[in-house]
Amino acid sequence: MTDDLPQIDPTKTHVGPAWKHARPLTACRFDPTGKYVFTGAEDNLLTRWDLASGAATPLATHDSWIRAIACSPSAGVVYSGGYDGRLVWWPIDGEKPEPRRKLDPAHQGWVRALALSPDAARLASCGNDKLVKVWDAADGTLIVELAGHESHVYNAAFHPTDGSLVSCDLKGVLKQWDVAAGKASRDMAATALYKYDDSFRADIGGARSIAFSTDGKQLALGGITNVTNAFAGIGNPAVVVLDWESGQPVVQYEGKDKINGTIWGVRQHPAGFWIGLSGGGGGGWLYFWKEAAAPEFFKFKLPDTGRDLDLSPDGRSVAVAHFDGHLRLYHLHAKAA
Amino acid sequence: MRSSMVRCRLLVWPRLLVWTLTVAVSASAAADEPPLHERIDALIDAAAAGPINPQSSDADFLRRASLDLTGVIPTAAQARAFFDDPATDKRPRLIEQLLASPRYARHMALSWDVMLLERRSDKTMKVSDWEEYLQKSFSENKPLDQLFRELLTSDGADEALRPAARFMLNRDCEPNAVTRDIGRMFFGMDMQCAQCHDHPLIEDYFQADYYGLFAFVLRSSLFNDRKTKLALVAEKAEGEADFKSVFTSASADNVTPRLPKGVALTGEPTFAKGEAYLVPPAANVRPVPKHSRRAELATLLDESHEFRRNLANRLWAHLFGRGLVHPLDFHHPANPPSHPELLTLLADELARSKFDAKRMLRELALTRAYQRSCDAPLPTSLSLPTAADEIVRWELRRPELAAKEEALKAASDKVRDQRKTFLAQLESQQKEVTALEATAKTSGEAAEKALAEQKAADESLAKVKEQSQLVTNAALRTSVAVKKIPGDKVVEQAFALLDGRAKALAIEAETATKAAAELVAKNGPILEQAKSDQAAVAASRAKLPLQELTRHERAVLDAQHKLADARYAIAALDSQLATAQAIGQWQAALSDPAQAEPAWDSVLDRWTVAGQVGRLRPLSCEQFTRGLMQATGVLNRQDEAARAALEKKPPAELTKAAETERAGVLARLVEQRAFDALRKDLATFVNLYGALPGDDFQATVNQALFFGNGSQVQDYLKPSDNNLADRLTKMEDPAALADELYLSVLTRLPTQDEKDDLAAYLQPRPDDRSAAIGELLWALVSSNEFRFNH
Amino acid sequence: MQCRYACGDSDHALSRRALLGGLVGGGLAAGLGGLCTGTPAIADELKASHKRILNIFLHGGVSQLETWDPKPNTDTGGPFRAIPTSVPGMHICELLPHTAQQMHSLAIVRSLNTKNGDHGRGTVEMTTGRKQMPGTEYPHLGAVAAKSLTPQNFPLPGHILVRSGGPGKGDAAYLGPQYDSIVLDDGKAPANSERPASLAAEVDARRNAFRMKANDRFAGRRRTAETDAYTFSFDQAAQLMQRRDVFDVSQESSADRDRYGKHDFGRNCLLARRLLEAGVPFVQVNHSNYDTHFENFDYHIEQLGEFDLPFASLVADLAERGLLADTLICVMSEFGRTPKINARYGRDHWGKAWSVVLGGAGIQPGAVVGKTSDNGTEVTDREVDHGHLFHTILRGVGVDSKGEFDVGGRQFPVADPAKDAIAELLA
Repeated sequence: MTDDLPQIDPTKTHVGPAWKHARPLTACRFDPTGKYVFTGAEDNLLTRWDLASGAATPLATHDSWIRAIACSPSAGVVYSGGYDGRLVWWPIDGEKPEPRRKLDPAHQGWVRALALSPDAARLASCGNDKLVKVWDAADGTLIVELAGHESHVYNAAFHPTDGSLVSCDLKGVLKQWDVAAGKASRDMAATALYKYDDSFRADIGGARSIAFSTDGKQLALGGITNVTNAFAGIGNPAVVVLDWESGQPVVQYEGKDKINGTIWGVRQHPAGFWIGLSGGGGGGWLYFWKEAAAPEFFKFKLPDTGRDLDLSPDGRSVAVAHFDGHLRLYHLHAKAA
Repeated sequence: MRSSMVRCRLLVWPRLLVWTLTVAVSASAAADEPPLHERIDALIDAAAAGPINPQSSDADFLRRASLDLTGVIPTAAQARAFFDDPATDKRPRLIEQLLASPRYARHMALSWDVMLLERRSDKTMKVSDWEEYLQKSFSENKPLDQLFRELLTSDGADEALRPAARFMLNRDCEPNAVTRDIGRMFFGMDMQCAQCHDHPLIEDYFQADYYGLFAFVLRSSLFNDRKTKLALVAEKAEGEADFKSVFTSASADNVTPRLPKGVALTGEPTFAKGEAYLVPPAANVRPVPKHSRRAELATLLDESHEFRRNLANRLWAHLFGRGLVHPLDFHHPANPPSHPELLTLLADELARSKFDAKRMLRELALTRAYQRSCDAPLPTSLSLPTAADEIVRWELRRPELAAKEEALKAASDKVRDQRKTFLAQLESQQKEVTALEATAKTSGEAAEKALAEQKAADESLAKVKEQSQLVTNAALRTSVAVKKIPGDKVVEQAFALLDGRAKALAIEAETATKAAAELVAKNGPILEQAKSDQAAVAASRAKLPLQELTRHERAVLDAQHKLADARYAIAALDSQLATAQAIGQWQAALSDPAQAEPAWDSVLDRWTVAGQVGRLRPLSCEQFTRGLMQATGVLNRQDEAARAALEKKPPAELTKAAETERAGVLARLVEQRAFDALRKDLATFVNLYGALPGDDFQATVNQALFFGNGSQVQDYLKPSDNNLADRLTKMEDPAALADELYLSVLTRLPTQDEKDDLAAYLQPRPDDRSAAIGELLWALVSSNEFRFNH
Repeated sequence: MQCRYACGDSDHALSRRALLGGLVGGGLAAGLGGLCTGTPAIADELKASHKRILNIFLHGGVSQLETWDPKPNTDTGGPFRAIPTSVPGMHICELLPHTAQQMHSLAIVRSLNTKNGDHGRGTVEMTTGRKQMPGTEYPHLGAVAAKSLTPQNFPLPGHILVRSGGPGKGDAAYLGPQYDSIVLDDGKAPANSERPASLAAEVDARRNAFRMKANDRFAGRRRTAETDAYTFSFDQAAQLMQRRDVFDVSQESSADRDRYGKHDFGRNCLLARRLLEAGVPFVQVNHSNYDTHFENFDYHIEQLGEFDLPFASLVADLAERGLLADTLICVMSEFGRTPKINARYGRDHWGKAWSVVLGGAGIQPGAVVGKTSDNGTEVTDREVDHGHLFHTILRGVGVDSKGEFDVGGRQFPVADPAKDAIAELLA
């Protein structure tokens, strides 16, 4: 960061540039250079947004919605996973990127999330077939298939330092995987994020977002809690933070006011505070938490409900994929004078 | 008891025609006329084709009357007392006692609740308030027409009558729902199908009838009061009924409110703009019109021929288990009454007695027809005349009836024609009115325009005058300055300017004045025109002979009723002939049992409808449940508990009551408490057995499972503090036990066979005698004899 | 159950028919018939003969787009793909792979417009085929079916609701309590169908014998169709208790129980098969719940994942066992769900353009009736509603839906007289 830039201060968060897509967005990821943001939408397209020019490049090959995107820091590859069960390799740059590789199907049913190992060598995917699969990020060969979850696997993440893999399913069951051995090394739980609604006779919950703390000491899982009506999404956004070593919850971040929503995105800022994106009946909000204090120290109302969040490589902005079709950037500092 | 046993054997034959005719005449009230119940019996006897069953046994009568008038069977003690009473007037006295008991009001309230709300629930008010309202109405013997008026007029705002509003509120005040049920319950006409088209099955129910009634209620609607949280009935002062047939091209707009088969409502008050409401409509405000069409309907009930006949028919059905017109809500020419003269007599008497329900029920209960045995006469014991003779006997009446019908048809046609001509003339007059209204409208608008112009002119005139005044004054003052400061150019210029302007304005004012005056002159005639046109409309409206119209309509209706009666008489004759023929078919089939039995069944059915044989009818859900509670001693236990509680802590109502009143008040309070205590139990039965009046009798497997295995019935049969099972268990002597059991459950003493069976049942069970008694008790309460009213 | 009277005695049969009304103007007459019943032979002979209805009620409002009328790759279509079915050219949502293989036995109506988005009203209108009106109650399809289809001598209830959640008791309204639903909650047998422990079988027989003796005595005074009906209700209860195993799904093979699934709906479908085999004229199975204002797609995966296999197995089994020709199947809901996907990935209440499935007795197999626009926002061909559906279902099982019921001398149209059956759907 150069000094003449205003310093990071989430309480000064403000709306930056926005770009409109034809249909509601479902996901967003920065590329590691910060040049692009990739989005998924309710129209089966992966779209590349050039943040400098705002130019949108549609990347079409999926046959269903895309909610799983990952970008390799070095190899210049963006990976997309779709509800069509496919996993696709794309070049990040280029006039009109064409798929480099298609795994069809990578999963039976939806691919719900992707995670890239810190060394970018391995790509993990998970989905409705209750499986976690680890692929060679370069050539797409399947390294291992990890079975053990008993419900849809909602999210997965690699540990930033020790490189171990963790996944979380609909029922809030977490599994740490011994990739080499191809089996779970330990189970953890985020029970607060799951409930069986007896009146509707259906399950509600799961990790709708996942992130390790930058130092790898904590694992954060975002979702919905205190559900009173599963089918109307009546419940409150929450982030369950586990101590990675013990696997025990250390804090459960919630909002001061009990608005309805789900945490669709969670990240820890290098400056140490956590960012959560809440979307749902209560509208769109950015929550900011620090330390072990359950209530937020600041929250920022978004112009529309949000569905995914990513933190820019320089840590100065977050991108949010909105229902109203907009990709919006939010700057985490005071407006430049 | 014995005496009636004896009578059972002989068969009474109806007296003959001569007598009927005299009766028919005397039906038009006279001082020396025989009491109503005798006239009823006379009509039934005279209409009887074939034998008439003897009177029922005291046992059957006691049980029947208790169930029909108080909704429960008598206790063993009451039964014994009645059987032992040698007096010849014990039946009339029993009827009086039953009508005086608090259970009479309870039973009526329960039956009428089912009739009026058909077991629908709603949250518009406390159910107990509604029940209390009905019960009070019947214990005070409120005239039935008043009760029905209250159901219509109560808007729920007036505390005292709030419960009556439930009739409207339960139907969300939805005009079609309300129209249908007023049609059914007030007038005995289910015109629902006529909502969308003339009734497909009933020739006489027209869409116009439906909407005539609809027009009375379509302005009413449900109103939820934000503050009090009460559901209320709101009514608007505008809104007319229009309809279109979904089948034909028939349609009508602004249908005049009209009673079903009654006269159209004329001379409805009209109000000037903004004058129509006591409480005008506004957000969260319940509108109350000066003229309520629901109230209007209520005032018309008494004059309705259909209303009277419907009520009479329903009271008859209450005691006989079937209407003279059946089904109850299908009064129409193609569904003639079984006894036309009788229905007319009852309807007239009901009106004459100011809709006195108790009096009517008393008279009905006193009839031999009501007290008739329902046992099937033994075919062998009958010496029937040959069908041929019977047919001849009845055919004798036809010429007279046919002639009467013909004459009345002619009379009816005549008045119809008169009305037709009158209507034609009325129509031309109506046209005239409409034309005048049109002109009045145009001239009225012109007048308003003129007045507006005038107002504008006057305003601008006033303005100019004011300006001219101001400037003139200014000029004057300046002229002074001119004199005082000679030669000052500026001042002189100023004066010149002002003076010039002043003169100009003066002229302007003058022209404006003239213009205004001209305007007034010009507008004068226009305003005059408007006034006179209005007057003309009013005058020609007043000239419309609306009373005339009503008179014609009444005449037509009157003729129609007479004609209908004549035709019903012929229909009745045909059904008597049909009975005679049925008897003939049975006689012909006697040789072959397979044929004879159904033939006999249909003869029996016809005699039952004709009131010659008593009807065997299932108990209503409420009679069955409370009868069961009475038989097993549950009811009695609750009574005692309630009485004890009330004597221990007498409420003000009791202590304040006058000495003479106290017993009655106590009885009422006891009944109320006992009823409340058993409310839940009753609800369980209603949930399973609760049918609607007019439904076919149905016995369901759920009921039988519940009755056989359910814990509630089992509990009733377990011995506990002096209930029946308890009393029986304590009895050593099987004969005494049998008496107590049969008297308590079946209101009669057991026969010797039954005593023997019972003894045989108990004999091998010394060790679990009480269980065995429970089984016997169950067997009797689940028997047909208990389930039916006989 | 010993026989008290000469069976098939013409006058009793006759008077009972009179008592029970049945249909005026065509249709099937209903009646209880004689009193000697419950012989095991009856069920087999029924199987061949009489018609039945199976109604599956997807409670909460299932999405037509995630089931019978998929619109993939449109703004409203959602993420799921359409898959081919056993009927060439007919596609349904990929969430129903097993059902897709049974569509040759079923038909889809894709053009329902019921103009309603209220759960209560939808439930009433879909199951009664009439517009809901305050103060007026119409009989549930099950009551109409039971009254029209219950054969003489039939020992079991004619109208059974198998539920684990979803709408409760099916009301018979003016047809009377005899036709109210018997409710099997969470697979349990009917209330009070088990003899209390305190009541030994022989004791029960003894007291019943005494009851019947009393009835015989009373019959000597007066006997009517109504007294017979009351007596018969006790016989029927005894027979039902004898055949209580009909309600016991655990008597089915464990293979079948695995195949249908261990969850409520799987068990309830297997129970439905058992009841239909026993000849029960009307069985409704509820599946709850589909009211997916939030995460419509996740929930449809879960709920239809539960629905698909047991339903498909049931259709296949009925076909294989030769029951389908006599059993009409309907899959309905109170309404469909909005084509528009809301901000919470949900779909809301929608009655304007949605689908139901019919099949079996009297229904054209593999038919598709009606169309909706490309993105499903409106009906573009052959608009129908609950009224037409009600007529069609009854016509399918041979009931004259234009006829009337005679109840206590009052005539009630069997179905909405202003509507008619969907002719092209009838085989």
